[in-house]
Amino acid sequence: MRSTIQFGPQHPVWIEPLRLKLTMDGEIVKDVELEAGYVHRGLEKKFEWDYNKGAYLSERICGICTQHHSTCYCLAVEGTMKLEITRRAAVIRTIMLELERLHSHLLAIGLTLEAIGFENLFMLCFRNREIVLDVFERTTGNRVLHGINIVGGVTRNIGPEMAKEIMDFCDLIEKRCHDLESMIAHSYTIRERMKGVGVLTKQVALDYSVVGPIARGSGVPFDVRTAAPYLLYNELKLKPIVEEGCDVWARSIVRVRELFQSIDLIRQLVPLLEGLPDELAAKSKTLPEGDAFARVEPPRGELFYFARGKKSKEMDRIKVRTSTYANGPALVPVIKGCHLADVGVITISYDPCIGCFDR
Amino acid sequence: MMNVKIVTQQEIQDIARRLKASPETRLITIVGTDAGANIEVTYFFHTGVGRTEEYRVVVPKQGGNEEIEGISHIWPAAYVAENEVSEMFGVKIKDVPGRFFLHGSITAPLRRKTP
Repeated sequence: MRSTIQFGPQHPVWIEPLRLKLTMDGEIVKDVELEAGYVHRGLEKKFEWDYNKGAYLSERICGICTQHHSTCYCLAVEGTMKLEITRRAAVIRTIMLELERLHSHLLAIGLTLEAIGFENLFMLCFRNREIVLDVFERTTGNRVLHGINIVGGVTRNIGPEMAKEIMDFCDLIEKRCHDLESMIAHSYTIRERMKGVGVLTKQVALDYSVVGPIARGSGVPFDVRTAAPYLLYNELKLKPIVEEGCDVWARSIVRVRELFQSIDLIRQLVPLLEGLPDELAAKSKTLPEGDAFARVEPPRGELFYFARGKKSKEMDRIKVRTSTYANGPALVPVIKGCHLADVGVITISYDPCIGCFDR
Repeated sequence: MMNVKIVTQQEIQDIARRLKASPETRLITIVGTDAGANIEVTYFFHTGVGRTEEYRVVVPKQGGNEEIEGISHIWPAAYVAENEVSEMFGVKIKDVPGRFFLHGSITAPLRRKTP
């Protein structure tokens, strides 16, 4: 006999509201209906205001990848104004983006482990994440919403002392991440719980155009940092991290391996600050006009901003396509046919951000 | 930076089919914009390292009775974006319900009055 289960909108495994209507045959999910929009705030309409305030607003779309949102917004608007930012501003932005990937991946790994009952490892991940937030506090003055991006550059500098602090931080976090990696990668229980669960095949990943660790965990080597380099990524040594497992385990291992990639990128970036003039922001002599778009690679996958200016301070249109917007629909083919007990861990392995999804 | 080609509804179907055949190509998203007398529906594709293609279908406003062909039967990735264009701009798109994020009581919030 078939029955229907409402999974969400409020469910302990998710932090934010999303609803899955599951049609069950015993313990097996036969059909899924995805419903979003519970935290829709109409932000795309709100963006039709002063372009200088847009970076502030874009940070508030998501509480985790705030720096990526404001950077992508600024890149798109700078594209409509044909504005080049200074090299120092580009280095600072890129360092912040990689720091953000570190704390977001630690959060995602922690939440995935919590979903399968490993609360101690969850706390360990959050303890490690805390020192990343401390670095944010030291460099930007803010732990979550950093507020350093403006159209044309950044507002806060990274001086030589702070650069040394960041390098010391890299040594500390690398050691802690190695400890974490050995605990996860060598754990028989975690591997057996995650392997073979929530299989998203490469073809389905391509059909749904999924992004980020979800795509890379399914063997699709798509990373905007290499596929369409922005800021300084074309100068850095970087290769997309790909796993072929297509399951929850593969997605989690991609995130674990990307922790070390981000640490390596920060180590490549900090020396680039040496000898650069302290010019943080470039001023534009023109107003936004015409269409432009920008793409960046947040921790969850490709983020896209489309901007249209009308030769006025107010923007004509801003469109935001977030990572979960691309990944959310691909939950449906994965959940179909799985056990009810796996729905939580599958959805959390997508690292869903419903605030981003709904905007 | 953007090199948008204006195409017809039939042409975008053929383009979507052609691009779908390549494993390197991804649909980035579909963006709706209100340009006064027309609604513009712009399709963004990633076609390889450092390459994108952008196509635009221009839909003249007809008092809320506009309808266009969808591509979600070719690219399942287009499903949410097509629904969003439909609910935000009031342009019906074939084969999708036209509701995803918004409550049924809200009608086309991003559509502007025709001057």
